[in-house]
Amino acid sequence: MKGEETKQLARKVAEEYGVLLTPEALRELEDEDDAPEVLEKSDEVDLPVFTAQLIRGEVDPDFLEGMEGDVYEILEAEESEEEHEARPRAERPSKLPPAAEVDAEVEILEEARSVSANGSVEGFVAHFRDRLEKLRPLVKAKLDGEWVKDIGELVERARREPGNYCVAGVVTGLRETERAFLLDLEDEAGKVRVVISKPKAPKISEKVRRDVAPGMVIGVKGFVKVERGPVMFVGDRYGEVTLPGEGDHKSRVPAVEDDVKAVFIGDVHIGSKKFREDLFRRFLEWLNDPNDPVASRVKYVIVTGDVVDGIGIYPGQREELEIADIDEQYQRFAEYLELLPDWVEVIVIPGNHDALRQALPQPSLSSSDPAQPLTELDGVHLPSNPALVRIHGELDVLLFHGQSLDDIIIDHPDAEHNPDGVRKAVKLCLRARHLVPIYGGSVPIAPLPEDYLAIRKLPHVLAVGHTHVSAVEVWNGCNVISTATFQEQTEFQKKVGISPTVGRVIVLNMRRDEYENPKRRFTIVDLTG
Amino acid sequence: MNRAREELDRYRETLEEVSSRFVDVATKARQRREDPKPEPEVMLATSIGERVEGLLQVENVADRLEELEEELGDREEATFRIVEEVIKGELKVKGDLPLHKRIDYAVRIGLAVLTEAVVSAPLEGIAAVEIRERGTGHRVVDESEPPHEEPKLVCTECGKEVDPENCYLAVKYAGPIRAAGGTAAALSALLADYARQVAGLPRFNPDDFDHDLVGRYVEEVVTYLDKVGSFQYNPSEEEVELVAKNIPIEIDGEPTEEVEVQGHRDIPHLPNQLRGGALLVICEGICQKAPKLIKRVEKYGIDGWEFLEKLVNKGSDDEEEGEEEKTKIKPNDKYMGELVAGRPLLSHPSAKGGFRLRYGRARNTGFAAVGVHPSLMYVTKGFIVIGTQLKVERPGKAACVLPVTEIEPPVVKLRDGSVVRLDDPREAKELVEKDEIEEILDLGEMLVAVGEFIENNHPLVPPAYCPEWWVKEVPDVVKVIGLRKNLPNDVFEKLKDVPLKRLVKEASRLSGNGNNLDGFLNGPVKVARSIVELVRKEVIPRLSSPERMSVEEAIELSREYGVPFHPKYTFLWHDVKPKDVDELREALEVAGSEWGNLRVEFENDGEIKRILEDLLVPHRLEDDTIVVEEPWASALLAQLGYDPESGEFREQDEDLDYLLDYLVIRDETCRYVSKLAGFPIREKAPTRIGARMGRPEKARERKMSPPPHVLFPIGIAGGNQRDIMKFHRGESEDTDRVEVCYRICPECDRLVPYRVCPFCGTETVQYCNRCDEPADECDCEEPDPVVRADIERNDDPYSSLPVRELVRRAEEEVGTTDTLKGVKGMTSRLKMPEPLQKGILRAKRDLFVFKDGTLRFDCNDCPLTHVRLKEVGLTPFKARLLGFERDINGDPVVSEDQVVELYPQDVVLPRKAAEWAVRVCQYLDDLLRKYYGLEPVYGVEKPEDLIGHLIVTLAPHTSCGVVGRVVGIADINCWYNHPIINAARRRNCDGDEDAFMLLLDVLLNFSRLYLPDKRGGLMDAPLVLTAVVDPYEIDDEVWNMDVCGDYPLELYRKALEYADAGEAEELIERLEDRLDLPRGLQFTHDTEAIDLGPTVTRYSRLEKMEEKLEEQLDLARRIRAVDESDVAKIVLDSHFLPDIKGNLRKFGRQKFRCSRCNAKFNVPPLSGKCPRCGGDVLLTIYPATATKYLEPAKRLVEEFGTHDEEWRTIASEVELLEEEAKTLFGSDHSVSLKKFFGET
Repeated sequence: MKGEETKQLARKVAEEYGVLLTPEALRELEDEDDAPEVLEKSDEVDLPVFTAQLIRGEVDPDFLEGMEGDVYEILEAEESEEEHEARPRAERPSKLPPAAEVDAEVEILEEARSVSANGSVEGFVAHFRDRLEKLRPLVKAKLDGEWVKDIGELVERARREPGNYCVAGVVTGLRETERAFLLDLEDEAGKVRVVISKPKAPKISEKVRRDVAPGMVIGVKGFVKVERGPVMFVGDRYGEVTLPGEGDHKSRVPAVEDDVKAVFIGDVHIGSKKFREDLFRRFLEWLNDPNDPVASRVKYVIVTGDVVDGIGIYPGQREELEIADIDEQYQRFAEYLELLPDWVEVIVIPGNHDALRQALPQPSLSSSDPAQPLTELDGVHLPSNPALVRIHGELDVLLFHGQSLDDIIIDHPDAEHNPDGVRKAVKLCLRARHLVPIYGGSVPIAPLPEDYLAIRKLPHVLAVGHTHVSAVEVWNGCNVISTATFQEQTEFQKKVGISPTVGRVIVLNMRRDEYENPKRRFTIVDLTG
Repeated sequence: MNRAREELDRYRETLEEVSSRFVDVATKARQRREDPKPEPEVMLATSIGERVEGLLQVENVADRLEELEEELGDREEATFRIVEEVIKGELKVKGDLPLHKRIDYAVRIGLAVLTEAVVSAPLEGIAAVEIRERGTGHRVVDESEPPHEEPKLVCTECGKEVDPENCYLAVKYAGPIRAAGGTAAALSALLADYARQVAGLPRFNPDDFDHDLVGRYVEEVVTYLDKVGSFQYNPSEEEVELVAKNIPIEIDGEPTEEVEVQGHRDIPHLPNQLRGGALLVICEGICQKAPKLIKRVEKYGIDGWEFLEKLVNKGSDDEEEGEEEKTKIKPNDKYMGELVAGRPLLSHPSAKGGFRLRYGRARNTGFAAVGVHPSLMYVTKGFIVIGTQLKVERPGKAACVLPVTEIEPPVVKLRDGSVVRLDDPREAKELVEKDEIEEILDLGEMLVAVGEFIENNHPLVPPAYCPEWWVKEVPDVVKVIGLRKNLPNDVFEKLKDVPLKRLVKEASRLSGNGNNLDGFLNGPVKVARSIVELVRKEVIPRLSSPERMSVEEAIELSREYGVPFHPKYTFLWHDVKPKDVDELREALEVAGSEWGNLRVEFENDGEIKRILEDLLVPHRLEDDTIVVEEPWASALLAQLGYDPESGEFREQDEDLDYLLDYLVIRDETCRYVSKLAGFPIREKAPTRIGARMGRPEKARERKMSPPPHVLFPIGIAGGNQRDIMKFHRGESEDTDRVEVCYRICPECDRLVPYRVCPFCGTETVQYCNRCDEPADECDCEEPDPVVRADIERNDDPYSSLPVRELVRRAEEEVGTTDTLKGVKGMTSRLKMPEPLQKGILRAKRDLFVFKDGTLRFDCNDCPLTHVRLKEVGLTPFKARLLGFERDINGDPVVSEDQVVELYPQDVVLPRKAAEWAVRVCQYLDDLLRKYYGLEPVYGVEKPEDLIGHLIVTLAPHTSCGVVGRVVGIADINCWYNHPIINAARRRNCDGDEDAFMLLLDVLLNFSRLYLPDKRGGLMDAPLVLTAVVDPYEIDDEVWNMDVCGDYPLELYRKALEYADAGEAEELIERLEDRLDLPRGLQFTHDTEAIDLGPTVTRYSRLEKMEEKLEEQLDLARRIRAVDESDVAKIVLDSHFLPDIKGNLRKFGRQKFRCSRCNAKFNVPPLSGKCPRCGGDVLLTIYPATATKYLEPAKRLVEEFGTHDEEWRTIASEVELLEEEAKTLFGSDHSVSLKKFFGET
């Protein structure tokens, strides 16, 4: 039986007899000539779930009766018989949860469509030019002063008349000396050396130290003169350095009238010996609970990548894998997804552990051979990493796995690998309006002619994973969500002193009244308790 | 003995005399010209103390060290005393010093003495020894007034005075501490702690700090192992924690890696990056060498190191586990790690068909060098050649290989099915050339000196049964058996243990006055005497040349006296099963009826063929018949218990049947066959050694890249080639500014960056560029001795460098040249250029200068203690001139075939090096004549003329050159050194390479001022020079090299019992026993020639990676001891996959560079052109680079992949990487891969 057939049959049986069948039970049933008769038995047992043992007559219904509703133990018993058998996505006909009553709407607004890079210097140059093109307008809007078209014009004007000018460019060099920060700012027309004297510009120096990195687009105001080449001097009194995302950007509050919620998870790491299968199952069970006031309203499940542990990701990984076969890892994930209630829409982006290239943007999981089982599922959307997705017609969610956060945390003078540090790191991405604000760190980018990593418009939600540290913050109206993990602390994390947040999920309450109240906007569900 | 002493003294005198004569020449020369100093800058040192003074530029150490050594009789103890005296201010090594400097000097001097003052670790490996404040780690200095009797400690961060009770001591290590070696690195920490105690400072306590310093160490070690590499010893987290918690001084270090810690960050007094030097001291030093350290702690009574006990005990736990294994050693696959594509695996660990261990030292092995049969070199298609490094399973980690003919050769199967022993290397060569070899059944023996086991502290293991062992045991066996047969039991018991020699003596004495002896003894002794006579007359003569013993004789001896069967004719019974033996016995057909004239035939069924191949019985195929011919036919039949006269097998006693059954069950084939044969048959290859190719051998001129003729800065004014002549001729449009030392000629009144003005001969004056005053009058805090000068084109004489004028001046003196390559800029602190004349003369001889002004040639080290004159181009006449008056037998040297013993500092150069050295000598003569106006000294025209001349040998990471003497030239691609000169450089022969220079070159052209101004800049430079090596002052690793002519029987017995290597120390003579007079050394095995075999490894001759890999796998397929699928897996796992991954991922975060001025960019210039010079911008990693191993990886999977799980994962990984490359670069690039291969 294919996934789809199973589902149909399960649905039919569920509607007709009011029981939920395990996949194995379904298969048993197929071989059974008098299926209806067997199913009649379900009346004898007041249980919502029907197992294979029951069909085969291995379990005495009377015995089961004593176990009143304790469905999961039976399921587990069957599990141990045939491990990890997936169950059909189920609906409970008796009482439909609120989420099943509303229609879902998922629209992928932006994702990396062309992914092949031009592997030449020109490709890199074009990429950075596009980055500048995309972000320059934002910078310009932010800085008052005498703007010039480009650095070419800046040199011309300053040669004639040294003075205060504003210009935007890409930071191509950054050096700190005892007395100053030296920036190289470039655009297609030229290069200017920016000197930020520490004594004369203590504030700006501090800002540069904390915020500016090679590869960023920034705007600078300062006194320019041309000697051997153009030099711009920046002092606190007359100069300025600005990032494209600074200032006030309030996004419009999404007008969601339905009582729906989105849950954010990530870094499942199926296949790892440290994968907490129990917690992940508990998560799925929770979503299936029609009585849970939160779970029953979840309409969207958003996964920030690293659904599997992958293979060959780091040296010596083979020893730490429970499932060494990459196909099997995804197969397993697909089986889990089948257990989700079928009124739920799922959005999954890839991460660095997924079977795709490492360079950003990462194409959709649908282009990965091992991940094919995911494409066969209904209600599962597989955009690229990063991707901008509109859910429920209103809420814009920027999804990014978060590979660059490591570099920011290491580079940033006061960010550490903890919730606070992660928040700081994500906010830097927003201020710099770029998901990989530091070029040349540990994260490779694909030099595409179009820079998909630039953030032109502030989304309602920026969801990241990767750090395994759960955190939430609202910044300028944008909800920053860093998802937790389902992987126990690894030996490596232990050694370097990183404590991951395991088995906690973040729920965004989308209904307008809840959303508008910052205290009610989020619900954190801890599955470990 | 006296003669040996005299010869050695004469040799040493000569070295000293010639060296000082050259120093005189160089002094005279340098006084005349522009060299940075008016005398040679290399200090000739005769003792450790003097070398310490030269290395660290201190005084009074040599004399005091000598006194203390005399007084205490122990150099190490003297070292601790010196440390104490320096800190107390009793020994002034550099005038009056404040406390923190006294401590710093004391620790460095201590470390220098412990490392024989050869390596640069005391200079470069310790960045600083600092007094620090508890809890903050702030640096504290002594600001008291001279003579600094009472220290006044002041914090450098906040300027407040600090109580000594509130301080501790920290040593900040740097990367080059590696050069010191683990033991010395650990001892440096101990020395520092001793210094701390003498200075009266409290111990370091990590708990004083707010941060988790202990966790920081643990994280650093873990991160290092994860991201950077591994240590010789990788301690557990508990061990690191133990050290970090208890070490009484702080082990700090400079950042050596870009990698940063993730957890324990931002500790105020520590960097966030990894501190490689500090980690090395902890892991390879304190943890690994805890047992050695503890001995010192006890000996010198140093408190606070009790925690070492736990480290040591931890080790002994492991040993207890090992106790059970003591009787049997386990295969060890460590050497297989990081198998590189193209460097073949020769044998899996302890695999059948791998190297058979044989004990012995040939005249060209020992000291981490092993012997293999030259035929093997051909059989491996020339991958393994003279001087190639092998990574080996045991006893050490690596060794270089050299040809030895007196061991058993490889055995191969040819395409026609026949199996041959390749005793003749020429035959091997021919077979390989004709591609006749189908399978390499066995690699033959590997000759390993017992000293190697001692040095590596590896338990002795049973070696191959061999003629030299057989010879030792046969007379005794014959004696014992004879006695047993002829004497009553009680008498036999009395006599059996009396050594044969004594018995012979006693017997002849007693028989002389036999009548006076009592009846009881008379009888037995008479019998004993006759037996002994028999042994002496019949057996011993036959043993005189065991290698040439005929098979008939061997059979007769064994059958008559029951002695073990001769090793040459012994087959490898332990590699087959008893049932295989039965099968052979059943299947054979014999022609002939007397020993030595037999022929055995078998029907060719696969099973019999396999058994014969396992046994290594040479045979051939005649149609469908396997034919074994003499001498192997007789050998085989005798061992199978066949009697040619009767044409039957020997009858077995009935009561033996039970025993035979038992042996069959136990699979003890050797004993089983022994019973069938009626005499003992020993194990031919009880220990197999796995090996793979390590680094290729090397002999190459050292060239910087790009290579300059002269250290003269030209920037981009000379074009890409940095050609000064191109600029001079006006062919280059560019000009540039370069940094040179700011010296002004007072006569000419302009910038002249030399000590003496080349135009007027006046001494120039150094200025400070900060204040523009002469350096003597400058008050700047940090004077700047360098000026940025325009190359010509400038009106200001103080900031323009008159390049054209300097060239013209040089041309007048020494003539001209087409090209003269300079450097882009100088990296030294003062940036004083070399005189152009030197460059022109070098360019004329096509020679390229190294960063320190010398000319270098690098070669891989190989050991040599004795040489046959004709091997190295020595005539008897020349040999006698060099002090080789008698050969090893004591006969006068009259023929080129004689073998003489080398002197301790003798070397043999490869021809390539000699040809280069001829040009260097000619250049030096030119320099003397044309530039310095002196008489030439070399007059060398051809390589052989170099014989007798002195060179300076220098190891990387060291700072002390050792004078060597050239005694010959050989056609090899590495060089032979006497082990003593090798060890004087603190090197062994396990694949290391060292450099040599001509002595006069070093004296004339080396200057400290040319050396780069950065950490490690003083490494690899001849700061001091040892003219005469004192064997007591060399790396003591070589002391374990055995120097005896044969091994006693006892040694072989110990080996069979897996005795500790230490037990062998008593049994064999080692160099340590001859330090006083290191002459009269012997070897156990000779070789036909030290240059027999291929000289350039196929690895280097093949250009394309694809070819190398193909050949490696082809070899894997052919070698029986190697599983090719495994090789493919390892290559993928340890080489290809990491490479592809690494490069694919680096592609998208790469740097860029300018094709013209080579500027580097972290972010690509948005204009697309170099903003500095307008040149084209290039990638540093191309798509083709990133994917170059993808195709080969795919092919490996296709060809060798199996269904096991590991292979399946690897296959998926390769697929994913291919996808990754495809989506990253699009499809066009994968097509060009083939092309890429074609071009590289």
